[in-house]
Amino acid sequence: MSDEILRRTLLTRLAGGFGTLAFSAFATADALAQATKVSAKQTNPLAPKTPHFPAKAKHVIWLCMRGAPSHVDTFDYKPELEERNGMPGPGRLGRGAKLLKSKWAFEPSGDCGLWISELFPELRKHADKMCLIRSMHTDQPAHAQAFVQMHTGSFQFIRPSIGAWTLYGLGTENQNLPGFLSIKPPAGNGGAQNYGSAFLPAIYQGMSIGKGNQPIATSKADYIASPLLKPESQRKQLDFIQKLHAEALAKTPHLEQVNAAITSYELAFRMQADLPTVMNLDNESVAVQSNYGIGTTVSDDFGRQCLMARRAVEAGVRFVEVTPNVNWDQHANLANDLPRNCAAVDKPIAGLLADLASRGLLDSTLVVWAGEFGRTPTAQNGDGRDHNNKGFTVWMAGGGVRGGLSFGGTDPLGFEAVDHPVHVHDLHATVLQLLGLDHTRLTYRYAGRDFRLTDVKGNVVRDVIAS
Amino acid sequence: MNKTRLTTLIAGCSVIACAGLAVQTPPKTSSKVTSRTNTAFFEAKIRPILTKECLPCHSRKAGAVQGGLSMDTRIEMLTGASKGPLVVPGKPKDSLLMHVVRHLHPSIKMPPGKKLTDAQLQALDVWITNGAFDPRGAQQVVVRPETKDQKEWAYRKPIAPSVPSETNGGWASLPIDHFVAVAQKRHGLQPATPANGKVLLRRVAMDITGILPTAAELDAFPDKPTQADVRKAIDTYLESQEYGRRWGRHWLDVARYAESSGKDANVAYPEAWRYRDYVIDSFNANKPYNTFIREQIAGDLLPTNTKALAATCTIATGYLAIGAKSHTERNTRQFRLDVADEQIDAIGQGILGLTVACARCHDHKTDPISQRAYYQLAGIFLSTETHTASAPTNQQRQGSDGIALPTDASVYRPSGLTPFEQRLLTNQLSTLVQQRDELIQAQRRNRTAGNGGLVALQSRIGVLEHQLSRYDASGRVKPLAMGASEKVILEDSPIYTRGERTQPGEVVPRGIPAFLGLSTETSVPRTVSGRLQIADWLVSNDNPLTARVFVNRIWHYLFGRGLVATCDNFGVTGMRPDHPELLDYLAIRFMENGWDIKSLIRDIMLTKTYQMDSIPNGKAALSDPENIQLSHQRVRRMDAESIRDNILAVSGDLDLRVPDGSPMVKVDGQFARRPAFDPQTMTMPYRSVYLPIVRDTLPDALAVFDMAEPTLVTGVREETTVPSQALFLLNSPFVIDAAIKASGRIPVASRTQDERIESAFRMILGRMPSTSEVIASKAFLKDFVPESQADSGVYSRVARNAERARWTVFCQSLMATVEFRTIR
Repeated sequence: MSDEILRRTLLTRLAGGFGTLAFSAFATADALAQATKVSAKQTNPLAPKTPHFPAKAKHVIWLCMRGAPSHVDTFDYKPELEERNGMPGPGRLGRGAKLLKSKWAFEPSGDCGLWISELFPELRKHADKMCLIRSMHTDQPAHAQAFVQMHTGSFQFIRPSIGAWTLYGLGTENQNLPGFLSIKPPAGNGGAQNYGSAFLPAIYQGMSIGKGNQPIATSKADYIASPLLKPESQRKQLDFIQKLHAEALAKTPHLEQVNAAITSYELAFRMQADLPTVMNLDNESVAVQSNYGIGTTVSDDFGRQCLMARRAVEAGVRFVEVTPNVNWDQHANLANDLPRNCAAVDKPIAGLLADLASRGLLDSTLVVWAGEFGRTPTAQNGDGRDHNNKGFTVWMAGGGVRGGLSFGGTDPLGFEAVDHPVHVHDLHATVLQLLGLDHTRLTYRYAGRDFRLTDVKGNVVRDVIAS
Repeated sequence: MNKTRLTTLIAGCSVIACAGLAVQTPPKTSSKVTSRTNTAFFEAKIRPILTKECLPCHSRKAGAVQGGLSMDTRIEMLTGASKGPLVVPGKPKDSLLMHVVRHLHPSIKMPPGKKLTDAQLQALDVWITNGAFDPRGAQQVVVRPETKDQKEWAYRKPIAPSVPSETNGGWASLPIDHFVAVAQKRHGLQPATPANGKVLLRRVAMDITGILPTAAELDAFPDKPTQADVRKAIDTYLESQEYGRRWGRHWLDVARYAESSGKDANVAYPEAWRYRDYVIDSFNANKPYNTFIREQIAGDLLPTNTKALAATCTIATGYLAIGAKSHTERNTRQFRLDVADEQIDAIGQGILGLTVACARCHDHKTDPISQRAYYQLAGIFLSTETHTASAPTNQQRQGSDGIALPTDASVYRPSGLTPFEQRLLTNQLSTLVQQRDELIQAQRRNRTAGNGGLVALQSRIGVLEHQLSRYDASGRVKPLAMGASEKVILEDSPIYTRGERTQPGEVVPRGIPAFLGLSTETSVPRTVSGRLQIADWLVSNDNPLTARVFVNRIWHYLFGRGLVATCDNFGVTGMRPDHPELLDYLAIRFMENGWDIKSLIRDIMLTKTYQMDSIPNGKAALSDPENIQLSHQRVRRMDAESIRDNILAVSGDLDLRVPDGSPMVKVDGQFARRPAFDPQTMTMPYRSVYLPIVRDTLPDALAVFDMAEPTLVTGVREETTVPSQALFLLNSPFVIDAAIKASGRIPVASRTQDERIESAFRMILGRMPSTSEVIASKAFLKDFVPESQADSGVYSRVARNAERARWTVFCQSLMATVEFRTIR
């Protein structure tokens, strides 16, 4: 086989995206291009797919607040708790423990006047973009189970994560990048399950970058660069491999696997260039960086994560989850630890919302801020709060949600969701809805039946969706 | 596109709406269609389009053949007219039909003056992708809905079919081939030629041992082997210990094997490896499958006359204990219900090929399995103690003790703690206990003091106590196992409404339910859990499924697709068998032959069906692209373990010994809290089956190549081709290290470059390079200047030696080719 023929064979096959292209000679270039697009769509499981109905959001940035932040100290203002500070908590919910008022002042924020704690001085400037769901509840008061349920819908069975479902339902726009990234996911609480694909094909699982306690600035995606060769040299190696592949095709044309491999090697090579570019913040101006709190010790790491998330979404990544290296599990030491945690995320998130808005990305990017549950209005260990799965706050912004809205509510003390309770399944159904996916129709057949993210439950919370 | 989805005639779990077409399911090896569903699809979607839009102008029967084209029959569609074939099955984008109906063709746009709807275009596309099944021209096919009997075929005992006499032109000689010949003949297919001897030997070695034959072994094997040559090779491989390591791994997929609990807390299971070794040893000893199953379900209850056998049978019950569990579940009852459910699910899918666990919350929606039946089984497992031999968590202490094994020379004991390590742990423990006591004292004195830290202290104490309890005074590992035993208090289970613990209903006697051919329930003696009874029933010759399911698994591993494509689901929602008589023939023969696994593998491998080439002849590729009629072999990708093992083998590093237990032996408690090592990147020179399998942190080398998710029963692995595999092959230290070592194994002294190229090809790909490959290789070696990333660090020495780096990259490239990891 001459080099020229080899190269042409290769080019033709590469042009086809996934799968072969052996066109009849009369196909025009234009038709070829169009057909390629069509065929790639049908055979590449990651190709962008048409949602069930027009989508409000095209991307998701999920801000994962591991450890369960106290809602009554942050986004759920409870004047009555202040009045009854120190009194025994009522009935079955209070179990005799003393009520503990929030140490921090709440103020109406934005034009909408949402009451948000002084712990978030930067974020609350964006109150008009935020939709607080103050009536969240979940099934379990244990971290690990609730954390997994928040990510997969189930604490009992191994199920695909919401990011994997999203990727399965919508595909992704940039084939040179992973469609689902999880930046610094925690190792515990179910670990990789939280961005895993379970029974969905493995291509839908999230790619993780970095680990909990290591700074993101020095983290790399696994195997994203050769420890031996510079890219130019590696390109030559790849050319040689592809040449061997072309030889193999000439000899055994029935080996479909070779076609697929040729394409995947090229994709991998492009990913090697593109993913580090997304992660590299050097080209962002100092002003942008400092808006994210980068350069300030307390917020530097999460600021970088958030900026990376914006860059990823901008580049077409479908779903990005970011987890700050803080733990919101304040059984004690609220007075010290909560302000520190809030400071670590306040400016980064404010920076993210502002940046997305200024780039016109906020309308198409859904930002979700969620812990696995909330905390008790009663005190634990003097200056702490215990787990509370019966009532907590999650907020969303952008991506077609109604900004400046407070939806639902807990009882006057903040124990449990009483006004329009929203279960985790309902939150999931709503997120999918915003993405243009009907949660009852996004199914996958496994072990003889159709599975969904929301199992047999979930109601879309239509009131939080902008009309 | 998942065809079963499109043509779903049977609703899944009825509460879930049928999936729309908007979301496409990606191609999956397990999702194939029967011709029945194909026919349904054609009649529902395709025939109306053809009749209305095409046939008015293109029908010989109707007397209108515009452009010389008639579309009356499948063969006319495939042949086309002056512009060539109209339809290329499996390839819509190569099909002229799609170009003209999508209006992509420069001159022809059909139908004239209009365009089909998107739904119609989509249907045509799917139809062609799925092989363009077209019943026209063959005998008239009437689609009748399946009867209940047809749907529930798996619930009836196999009936011994008579072996057909069909040879398909003198091709078939063995019974299995006769069955296949009937199918080939019926579809007008010619069998492929026999595979070349080298190709066959490679296939046989990979299928039995998972290790590639060496170039010397290939040289010694004839191009046109006699049946005696093949038999000798098969027998040699079956007798090697590598057989048990490969086939043991197959079973470990089905047994959802792992060495930690997964789920929320991911607690280490430090004794799980004993079960792994039991499985490998059982395959190597060619233990009859019925014995193998009895031991795993009820080994502790079987009579044993030696300590060694008693130990083996106890370890076997680890099967029941290794499933994923939520060790943070606070409610003990809930925990036990979930464990029993997991066990029923594993047995249901793994041994019976049925999704029995669906009946936990309601009567099975599609299969004849009642909720009552489920809770009869649940009673058996609720009367069983499950020992995980794992450290307790704060929430869950149940069953955490291991089962003491008889101290017998045959029970391997991994290396234990040094006196120093033991002292260190003991000291740590007493320090922690002291701290805890002080904290409690302080709290007594001052009631307002917080209990912050107490929970964490208790938890660390629990883990340490557990860890120390696993060693004797001299630091030797106590022989302990995971597994099952009879509970002291036996119980029957109520039927829980909607599966909810808080809603118990009628109590049902534990026992063997009235399903699977049994018309009445069989309760078990009140004094036993019933595990032995259920084990005996599973492997009874009257059980319609156990043998079928297992022979089907063997077929799947040897052909890349089971006779029932959904290997873990023989129920109503599973696929119907492609060749039901052959399946029953194999199942009955397997039982009659004493459930002899090696013998069945040998019998299948000796057939012409197995030994065919994987290149389909022209007609087969067109009319049976999924090769359901077995007119040729399938091309398969090596599984994850084989890819890693063979990379290690090429590097010369592969260590075929049995490792010292598992790295998990020394791990206690929640894995992520204090990881002793990184399971994802850990290097060990042993075969992959021996790598530590920690749930949710699988070894990278296996995870990227679609290793089975160890939480789920997995009869059919995915076979994906994705960029992360390329990144791993190009950039992982594992592969680069192997390439460095491989390049060192090319004899250097006094050899020409040509000879060295040949050596590398033979060593890695088991063959000589072609002339053009030699030219390409020389060009690469001449031009390639390894510009290194590694000025310092681990690879700097290789990088500084340009010649070595060049050959390293050359070897790595050969290892990265598709050929290296393909079995054809």
